[in-house]
Amino acid sequence: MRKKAGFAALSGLLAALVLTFSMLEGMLPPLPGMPPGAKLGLSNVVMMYAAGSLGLPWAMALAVIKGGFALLTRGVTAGAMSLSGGLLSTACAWAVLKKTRASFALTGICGAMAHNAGQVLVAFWMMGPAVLGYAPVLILASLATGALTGAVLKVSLPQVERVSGFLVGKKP
Amino acid sequence: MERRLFNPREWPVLLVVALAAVIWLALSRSGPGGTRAIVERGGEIVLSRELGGLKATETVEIEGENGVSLRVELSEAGARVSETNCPDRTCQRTGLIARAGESAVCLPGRIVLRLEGPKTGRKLDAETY
Amino acid sequence: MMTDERKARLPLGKRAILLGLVFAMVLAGLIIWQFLGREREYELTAFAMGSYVQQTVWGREPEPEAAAAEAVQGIEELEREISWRRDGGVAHVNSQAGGEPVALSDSVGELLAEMMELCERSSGALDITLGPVMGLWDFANEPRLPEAGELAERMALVGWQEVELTGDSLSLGREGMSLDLGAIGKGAACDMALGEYSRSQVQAAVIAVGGSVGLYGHKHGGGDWQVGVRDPEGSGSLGVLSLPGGFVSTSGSYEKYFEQDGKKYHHILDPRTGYPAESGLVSVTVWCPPGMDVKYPGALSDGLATACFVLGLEDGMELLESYGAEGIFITEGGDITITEGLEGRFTLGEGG
Repeated sequence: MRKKAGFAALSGLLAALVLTFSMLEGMLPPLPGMPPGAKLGLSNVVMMYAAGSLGLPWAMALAVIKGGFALLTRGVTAGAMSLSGGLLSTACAWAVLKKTRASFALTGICGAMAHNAGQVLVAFWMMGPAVLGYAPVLILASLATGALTGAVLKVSLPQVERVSGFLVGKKP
Repeated sequence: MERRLFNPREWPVLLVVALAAVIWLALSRSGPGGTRAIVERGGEIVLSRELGGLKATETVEIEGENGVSLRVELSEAGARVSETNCPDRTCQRTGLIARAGESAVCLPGRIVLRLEGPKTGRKLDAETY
Repeated sequence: MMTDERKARLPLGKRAILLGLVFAMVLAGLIIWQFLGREREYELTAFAMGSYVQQTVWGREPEPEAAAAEAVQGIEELEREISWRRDGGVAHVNSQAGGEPVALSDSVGELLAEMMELCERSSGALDITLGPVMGLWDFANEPRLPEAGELAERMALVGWQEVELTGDSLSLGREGMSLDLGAIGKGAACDMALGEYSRSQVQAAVIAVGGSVGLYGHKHGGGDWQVGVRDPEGSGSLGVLSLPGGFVSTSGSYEKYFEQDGKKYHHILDPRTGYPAESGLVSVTVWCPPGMDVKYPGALSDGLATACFVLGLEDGMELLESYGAEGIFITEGGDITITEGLEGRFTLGEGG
């Protein structure tokens, strides 16, 4: 009983975290020294954790919620880009976490690159081939931001595990 | 989840990715990619053309107001007014414009040739002349 | 033991719920904030003040659209008032030259007072009474080189000292004199637009009236405004100015000119000779930074650019310093001199 309720609570908590982070990030000024459009991807930290702890279906659902939220608040283009980027990066993070023993940094980088790839795909479809010229810049940016989000996940993991361990009822 | 933050064995992977991105970047930096040339007549857009994919120079004749007509040249390097029957010829003398935010204006004909960049790229907010 | 464990656990459960609640509240706040404060970028282009007017305005809907339209309307009204071609205050003054004073609107009176001061401080390098001579050269329609005799006749009718401005009423000393505010009109139009922006709820805006630029508020997304400086040699931009705000205007001999008997005659006349200024410069760009103690910094930047072009490098720099304005001077030889305040703000040939 507790496990089921705890799982629901954890999912809700993670969903709230994802939305808060993506919102906060939308309000931050562009990063100095970074190309415009490149984000830190704080919400990706949560998505990665969700992929690892909730499993693929629930994590994907979370990505859909995030995309829907972007659709409501920032319009169709941003919503489609967020949805496509979120789904791809979540799937990628899940695969890397569950099927390989890659480091946190590499996991973060894979997630960030998948996220950007998803966004560029949508932008390509909506705005034409011009956006492809921007892709290499985003790849380079995701090397930095991905390593950083991986590091954030590593640092915050013990704390998050304590809460989720309590909610879901299993020790990490 | 017993994982390390960094795994030295992964460095080659990252290096290859970074290198590939840099090469891609170098190859794609040959023209004002993602830049559009816009021609306005009396405030209405009459022509909008992506410059990035142009293989050869393209010429377009534009009929303006007050009997003014001019010829616009579009290429991957940018856009210019190459010929005009307007006595002012200010737009022609502006020369090649290659950066988003730049413009060549023909006041008598009420024609504006300007470049618009991708929203994400670095661009000018205004131009003084 | 059992109760202890429960006690230790329950607060943690409550804490988790509390944490969730706090997050939910923050989230709700953010959603409301986002919906109420949704910013929009609005672009409007128009022809006014004899120029191409470009505006980009940021703000909450529907403010930007309204403010941009108001600005264009304000510029059109200003043009009516200050253009000698129209039927407003200045045209009336010209038609009454040598006669009764003409009452002007408050704002035009203040604008003219500040421009009169510039005429004086620039030792007549800018002269708002150059109308008779400008008419002779006729740069707007069919420019021609005037004969020495007729030019001397018209030059006798030029002199800002003979403008009598008391309060809002203005008169020209002799019949045949006329005001020509062409050198400051575009800058004044930028002032007018920024006035409209500040009366509205607009957050940031950039306006270009011809080559005069007004920057309002903080650029959307942070950082400085990027203003391109046209290359006098005619191939797009020479460089880029990164500015926090204020007004930028440029006077260049490349803008408008004609050739006769193998000689180039450009449109920036020296009020002291009646001929195109020959100061060794091809272009002067002036920046009036935010916070200057004048009512019309835009018009000032425009007038200063013209005055500095006529004065030349050294005297021009001195004039700018006395006003606390900054500038870029480009000589015929292609040398570029910038004032101290623009160091680190001007980047040559960057971007592309």
